[in-house]
Amino acid sequence: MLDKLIMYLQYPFVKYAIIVGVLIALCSSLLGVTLVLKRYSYIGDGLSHVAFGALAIATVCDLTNKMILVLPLTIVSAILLLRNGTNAKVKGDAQLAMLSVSALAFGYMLMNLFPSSSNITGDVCTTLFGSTSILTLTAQEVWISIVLSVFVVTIFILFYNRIFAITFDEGFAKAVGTNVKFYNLLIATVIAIIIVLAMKLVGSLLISALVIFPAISAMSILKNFKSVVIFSAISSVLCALIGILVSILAGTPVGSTIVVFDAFLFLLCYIIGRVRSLA
Amino acid sequence: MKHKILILCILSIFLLNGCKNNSTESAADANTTQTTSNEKEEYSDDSDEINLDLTTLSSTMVYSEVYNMVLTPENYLGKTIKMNGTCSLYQDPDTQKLYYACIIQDATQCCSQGLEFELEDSKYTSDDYPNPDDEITVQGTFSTYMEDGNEYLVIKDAILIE
Repeated sequence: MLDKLIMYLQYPFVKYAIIVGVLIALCSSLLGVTLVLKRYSYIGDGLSHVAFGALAIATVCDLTNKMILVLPLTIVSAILLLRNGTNAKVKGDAQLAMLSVSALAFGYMLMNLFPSSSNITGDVCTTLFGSTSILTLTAQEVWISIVLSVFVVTIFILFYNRIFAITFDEGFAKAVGTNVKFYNLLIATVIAIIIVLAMKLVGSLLISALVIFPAISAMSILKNFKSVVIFSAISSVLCALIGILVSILAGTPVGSTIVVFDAFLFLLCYIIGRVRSLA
Repeated sequence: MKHKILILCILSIFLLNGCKNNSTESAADANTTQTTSNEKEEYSDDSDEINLDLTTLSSTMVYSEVYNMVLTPENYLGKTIKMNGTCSLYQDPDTQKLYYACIIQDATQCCSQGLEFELEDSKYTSDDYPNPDDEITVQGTFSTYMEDGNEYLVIKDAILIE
């Protein structure tokens, strides 16, 4: 099995998949903690559906670089959702659901009305579940993912303290002079970038798992924000790496394999957390 | 302020990357192609005279490799390829010409990739072609041809392996 793995690792597309997969897992886990604590866990799912709709438009328009359309549309939706979410909680939830299903339906309808290939089912399946998208990346896509990932990590490191303050007490952050609106805008932009990147790894239906599972796993056993972020990042990267390697060895779908490992890790952390609290 | 300047710098790098001209991309692609070709040599199986044996790979790897063949056929031209999958038959309604293909499914079973194959004339007749939906293993030389202004991929001089 080790020989086979070494042989597989010589394929350029496997190297690309590992690089991009690890970076996406790292980025999604960093912001995942903030999203979970701000009770925006499901925003990833909603935005991924928006990205799906945008991708359908880009495909119909036959754009060579679909990111040009998908990224701005997802960012605008993220900003609108997060802005409204702070004003009215229930309304924000309803808006998220409406935007999510509308974008999904709109995207699917477009793909059927203006098919870009003879295999519409395959195209839709690939976008929703990732399929083997991460193993079919071009060199240009890898570079775009690297640049966007560096941007996300840099933002998180630079504004760690302010993100921490906004995550726990937005009102207090505002009272001490933090430009909450600007940082929420920044968080929304970063979330949108992560969603667009993660679509390649696990597909639009499974993105929420990348955002939620590492954060919840870390929170099950750790209480300190910094420790939670670090554990979340390490566990997410490990699960993505193991998931990719297992899927290429066992021939299983990449996205769902990664999510299964994320879920398994959560179960493990949850049990450890429960045992520690009882002891 | 420093933070904002740094963000602007990072965004500029991203925008520059997105706006680089086609010639630069072509050059980068050419380099990638060269690297890819070199790397492919490393895992070719010379002892069996098969450059790319897809029968030994997992379904996820096979699907990805065939996808890459379709995307960048120039990297695979002239290589001996062995693959197994399901036989598919297509008949051109205008010319009545028959096209046979070996189809492979991805791990989610919703996507499929296939390669057309032509059996070696000196060894096979038209009666020797497999039936649609038969499980087949074919081995031949990867090639491309032009028809009606479109480029098609084919495994030429193929042999059927039991």
